[in-house]
Amino acid sequence: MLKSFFYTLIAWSVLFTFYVNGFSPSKEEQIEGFFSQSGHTNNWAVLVCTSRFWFNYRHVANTLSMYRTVKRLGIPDSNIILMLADDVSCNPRNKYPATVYNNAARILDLYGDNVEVDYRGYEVTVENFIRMLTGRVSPDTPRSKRLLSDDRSNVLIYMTGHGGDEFLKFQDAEEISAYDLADSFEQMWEKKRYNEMLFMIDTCQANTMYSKIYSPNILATGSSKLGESSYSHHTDHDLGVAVIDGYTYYNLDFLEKIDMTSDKTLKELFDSYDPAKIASHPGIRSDLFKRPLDQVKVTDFFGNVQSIELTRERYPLIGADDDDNNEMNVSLYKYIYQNIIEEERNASTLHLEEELVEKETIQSEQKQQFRAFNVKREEKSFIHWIQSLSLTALFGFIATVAFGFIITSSMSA
Amino acid sequence: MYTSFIILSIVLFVNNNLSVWAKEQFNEDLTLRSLSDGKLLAHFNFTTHVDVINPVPGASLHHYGLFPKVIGQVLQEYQVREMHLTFTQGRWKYDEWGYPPEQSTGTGVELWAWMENSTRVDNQWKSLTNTLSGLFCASLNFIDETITTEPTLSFQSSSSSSFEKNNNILLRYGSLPHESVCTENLTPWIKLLPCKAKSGIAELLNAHKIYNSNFHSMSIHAKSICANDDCTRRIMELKQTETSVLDPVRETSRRDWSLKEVFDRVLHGACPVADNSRVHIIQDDSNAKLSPELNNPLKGYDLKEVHDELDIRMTWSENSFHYPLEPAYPIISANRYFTGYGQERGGLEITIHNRNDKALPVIYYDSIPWYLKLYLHTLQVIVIDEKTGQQQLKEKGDIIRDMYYQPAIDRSRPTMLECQLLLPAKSIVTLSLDFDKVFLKYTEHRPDANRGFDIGSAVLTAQLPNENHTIRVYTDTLLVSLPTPDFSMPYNVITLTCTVIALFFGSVFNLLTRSFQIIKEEKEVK
Repeated sequence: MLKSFFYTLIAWSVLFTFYVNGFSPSKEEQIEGFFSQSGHTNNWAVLVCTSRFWFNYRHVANTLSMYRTVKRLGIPDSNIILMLADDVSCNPRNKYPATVYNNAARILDLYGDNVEVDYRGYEVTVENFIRMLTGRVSPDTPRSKRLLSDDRSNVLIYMTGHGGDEFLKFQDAEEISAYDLADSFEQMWEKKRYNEMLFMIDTCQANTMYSKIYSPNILATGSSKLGESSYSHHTDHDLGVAVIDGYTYYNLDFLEKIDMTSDKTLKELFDSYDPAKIASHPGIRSDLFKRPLDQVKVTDFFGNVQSIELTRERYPLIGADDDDNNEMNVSLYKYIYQNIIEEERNASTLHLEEELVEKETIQSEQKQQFRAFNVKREEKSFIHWIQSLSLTALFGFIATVAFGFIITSSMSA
Repeated sequence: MYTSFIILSIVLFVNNNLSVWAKEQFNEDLTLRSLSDGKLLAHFNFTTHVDVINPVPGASLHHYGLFPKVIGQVLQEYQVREMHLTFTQGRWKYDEWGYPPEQSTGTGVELWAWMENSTRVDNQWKSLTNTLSGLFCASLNFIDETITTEPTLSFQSSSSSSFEKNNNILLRYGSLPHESVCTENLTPWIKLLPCKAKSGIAELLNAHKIYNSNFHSMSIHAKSICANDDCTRRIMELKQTETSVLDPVRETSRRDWSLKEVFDRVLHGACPVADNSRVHIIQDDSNAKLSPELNNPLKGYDLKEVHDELDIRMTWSENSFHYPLEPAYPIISANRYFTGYGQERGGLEITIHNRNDKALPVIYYDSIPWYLKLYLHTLQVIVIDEKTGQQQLKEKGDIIRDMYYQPAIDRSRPTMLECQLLLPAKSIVTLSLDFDKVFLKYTEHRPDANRGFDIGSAVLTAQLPNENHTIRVYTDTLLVSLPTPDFSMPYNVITLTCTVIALFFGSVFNLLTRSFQIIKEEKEVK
């Protein structure tokens, strides 16, 4: 009886310990959880308004509203490419110069004091757009006009203007077709220029524009389906033009309630679309997109949010020079580096002045840099493992022992 | 111990003399002047001056303090001696406002640079325009070889350093008359200032008010010149100016102004890194009352002494403003316009007024794009004497002393006409030229083709009597409508042709190949 009791006890306790250990996350899992589920490390936004002329004020206002949202949620100007085909804020017809409003109440000025328009006026052409997307720009192109995304970038592409069945009109002179767009995205995929992409388009018959995309990891949404027009939302009677389109208005309605800490998902954004209010049927294409939409956060595309998780343990820091472990000792590297410089200097034939200048710069750099710290590494010993076992594990162990004792005693009885 | 001290002091002394030493200076000032027609002229001037002494001859500057790094790197990377970039909107009315504090008043964007002579000058000019277009959010990359010219007489280098070998630098000039100017151009301009728009005079730069004015012009003048023979001493200077003509009469029908009303902001003190920070008021009218009072009108307000707020106000005791009837004409003014009608040919005329008592030499520069084919043999000079009103057709040599003409090459370079004229005293000289309009290919038209094409301003450079600097007078930009095709025609032609061919081919094919056969129907058996 005692033997069988011991066997049961050992088996239960081993099983239970393994089970309980599975609950507390190991170091690897904890680190894995630091990075967001989509695996992106930076965000880019490409915002394009393709319409020219004063009466297309609302397209510029759409684009600037998205610019403001994206900037507010954290994407910096260096990661935003803003293309505006016409200048409406300093247009002589604008009653309120240097401002663009997206609401007749005129509370919020979208233009503000700190706007950076990368492509403007006649530069917004199909050729420039495709060159920018695929990275095949002329060597003189300045950095602010290049899309410098990499394979870990989430790219938001927002386009607005006048369009139709599988085309989008650029500035009244040319068109980009859905096939051109699909091929550009495929080039981007082959050149590893995006991790995931959200393509948003607000034009008439917008859903046809994304129907031909065939590259992976692209989520697309449009404002109206084939045969339907997209409508503007309302007019400002002082300006004399419509100031925002319906689809973008309802998108902003949702996005204005979000800030950088928000956990809202794209599914909630798409569920908020009401075809009756928008006056057209927005579409969503998610067959090329791997993750389910209820796990994709809105800030994955519209913001530049790094995932931060707080740990329960503190990481104690010790001075680098006090650390006995030489592999991570910074002062050791400093010593080695100094020796190398000494040897090089003695070997070559430098002038006295340059030596002195160099010595001075090295000394000043050393003073600035070497206040380093190392993270105190844990000593891996059994005592520490026992100490790190949580209270639940201990309680579970005691409960198993007691339970096992009761069972065996009742069995043998 | 003493020996080590001596060695240390020698080492430090040698260090100081042999290291790179740069002295930087930043000055800012604002000049406010009430013009005769009730408008307010505000001229902001920010100058950053760097004196670099570098033991290595010809070396470039690496340490930037107040001088903005982007401008310094652009100047050194593309070997630019001097660069002038101006963004202007509106018209400067020479007849009513006199001469502007900053010379370039041509609408749109104007860029000219003196660059080191090398085989790569054209590539460096192209790189310079592209870099500046990214820096200032303007489409300066459109200044390509179809717009760029190399003037010979105008736009002389203002650096009077005799150590620079002046035959080693080349001038490039380009302008975009249809470029719009808005907040996205002002923002990077402000970011070049040491204090940005947070303190000092730049606090007043409110885009909503500046772009609501009758005329505004924002410019950057950058210089990087050697001060001695072996270029161990280099002077780099950046002058940023902003000129606005604001109109208080439009809002209140009185010409009273204050900083709060005009700019919607007040001054809170000087920029901490500025050596001088002043506001000057030029008071032409003794009826105006200025508050707060100025002790020394020449020195103006010193912002270093302002600690909380400074709101300058000028008031008149009249009920409402009456516009002056007589404009104050300047000594030299010019007017350029098109003549003729139709879409095939036309004429270009420039009228130059000389109201001086003596004859005045003037340099006239004009750059016409290639799609207007000028005919130089049709150049005519007509002089009207102001006193007698008599008009005479003059021999060209009497008025035109020297001429540089570069004919255009289609799609490759523009026409450049530069004349040195000797304007007779108290006269109106008119130069006229004929041209033909080119029928462009339909892909060369702009997206808003029916607007037409803009022609950049002509520039008159003159040295006024009693002044020791040259002034430049800019004419208005012009708008020419070239013959515009019907852009829907390719679509129409394709549709029509396809329909005709389908009908024609279809019918002929059927006629030729279709044959009718009689089929006997079997009678149904009842």
